[in-house]
Amino acid sequence: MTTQSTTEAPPREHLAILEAILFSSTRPQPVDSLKTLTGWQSRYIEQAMNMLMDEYAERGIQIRMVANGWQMVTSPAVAPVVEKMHAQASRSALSRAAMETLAIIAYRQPVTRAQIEALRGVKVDHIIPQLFEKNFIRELGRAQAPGRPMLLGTTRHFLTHFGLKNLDDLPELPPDETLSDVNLQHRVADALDAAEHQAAEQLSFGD
Amino acid sequence: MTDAVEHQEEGPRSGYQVKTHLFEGPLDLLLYLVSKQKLDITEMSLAKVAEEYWAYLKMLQTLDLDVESSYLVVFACLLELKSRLLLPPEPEPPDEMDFDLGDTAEFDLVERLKEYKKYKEASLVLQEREREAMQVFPRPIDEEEAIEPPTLDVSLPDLLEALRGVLESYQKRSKKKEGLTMERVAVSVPQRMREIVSFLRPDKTFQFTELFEGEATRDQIIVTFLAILELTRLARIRIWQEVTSGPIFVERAEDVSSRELLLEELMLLEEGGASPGKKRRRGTGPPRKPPRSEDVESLPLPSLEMDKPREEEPV
Repeated sequence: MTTQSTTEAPPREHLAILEAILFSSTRPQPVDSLKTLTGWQSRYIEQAMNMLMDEYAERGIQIRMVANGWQMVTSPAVAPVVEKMHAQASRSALSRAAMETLAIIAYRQPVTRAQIEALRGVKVDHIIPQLFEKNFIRELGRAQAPGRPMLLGTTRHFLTHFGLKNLDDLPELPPDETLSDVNLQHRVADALDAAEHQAAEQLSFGD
Repeated sequence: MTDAVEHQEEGPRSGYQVKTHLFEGPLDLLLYLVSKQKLDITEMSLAKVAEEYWAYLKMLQTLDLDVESSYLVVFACLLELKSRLLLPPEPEPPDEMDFDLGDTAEFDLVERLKEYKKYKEASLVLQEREREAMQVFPRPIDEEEAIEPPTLDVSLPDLLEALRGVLESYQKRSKKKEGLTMERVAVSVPQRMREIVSFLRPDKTFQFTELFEGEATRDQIIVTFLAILELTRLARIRIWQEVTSGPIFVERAEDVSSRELLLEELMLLEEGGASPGKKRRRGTGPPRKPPRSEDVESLPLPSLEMDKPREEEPV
């Protein structure tokens, strides 16, 4: 297979080859492995993939970019019916606690268990093993801190499961509630008034 | 936390109602109480929040010290905040002492609450992404395959183990050649990085140990190892293994992300347009170039401690 220049559009046979590779593989195919298989250049493969994705836009099967690779999946449009077929498969969602912990790991990686606990204000001993078991997190190394605590990060499977192209594709964190100093002083003054007012009415809480 | 408090989750997400609600720790409870007042964290009515917080605490009545104490710490912080707000503000606060809610180390409750809220919200968005992702179905994966994917990211312990193996085999080799005088060959980390990249072929996978073949000194082994780490960090190479504790493989990463392309171009510039992927025979180890100081200095890479070429000196 000879290398193509990026100016000419990939011929149908080449799209067919990529299509066949995606169809016969279960996991996302990164551009590296497609390069190895075909001998084409990355940009050429990308171009061909984009054409292929367009062609599939209206079909029951789509090509999605996930975990730094391309993968064939059923279209969300047909989900209501297809879902029924997969109902038995255990695709259990995470508990709220596990979800929060995973979010912290995803955004703050590498992060230690102690840092997560400080953020959530609650222990996560029982949650971390769950996330390991589901193959969502992995050890990135050890921190240079007493006890050499484990540094946690997310796995490729995490990206696939959440339909993320890569870590940059994580939804943006809500912005910090930025309060200028002046603003803060005003708010504190208001809170002070409110507290004074309320405290006058009900100074006793607890028994 | 064994008891659940029943209440209606209220808020903008009306399509998503949760009837029973188990608080995930003191911050979660506090956040709920504050949001129930529909107030900003910094404007919450402390008296009311503290009262409801105490009520929940009494209801909890767990004997789990870890849980109870974590709630109590936050409650104590609340009390302190309240008592502080009850005091009249200093008539003329000194300029450098701004009236700041989080000015003491143990009392950064508002900050902590804000930070927690951020990730709590992020987790909801992430959950939404998961729900969407679960609407599409890939071809089914074998259960076993899913647990052990064919390419694993190499864990640090395994990597260190591999380095230890290389060093040990070097020690064995050097013992045999007892009495031999060796000279230090000066190779810098950036230089070694470039050698490794040009040694690796994009269509071929090498064993981790192959990169160390022909290393004559312990220093060089370390330099090579550092170069591998740095290249991995820059996503220029990929290291992976098939099974945990299995052999580690190295290959050139040929990603097309913009960052990657930029690096590739920089690299080509550095090498004066020389082809980075010239064919070389496998197994002989990458060839060494004599170190040139301008190479080292002009390379736009973070400097490591060992990146200056060493003077030649007998060992």
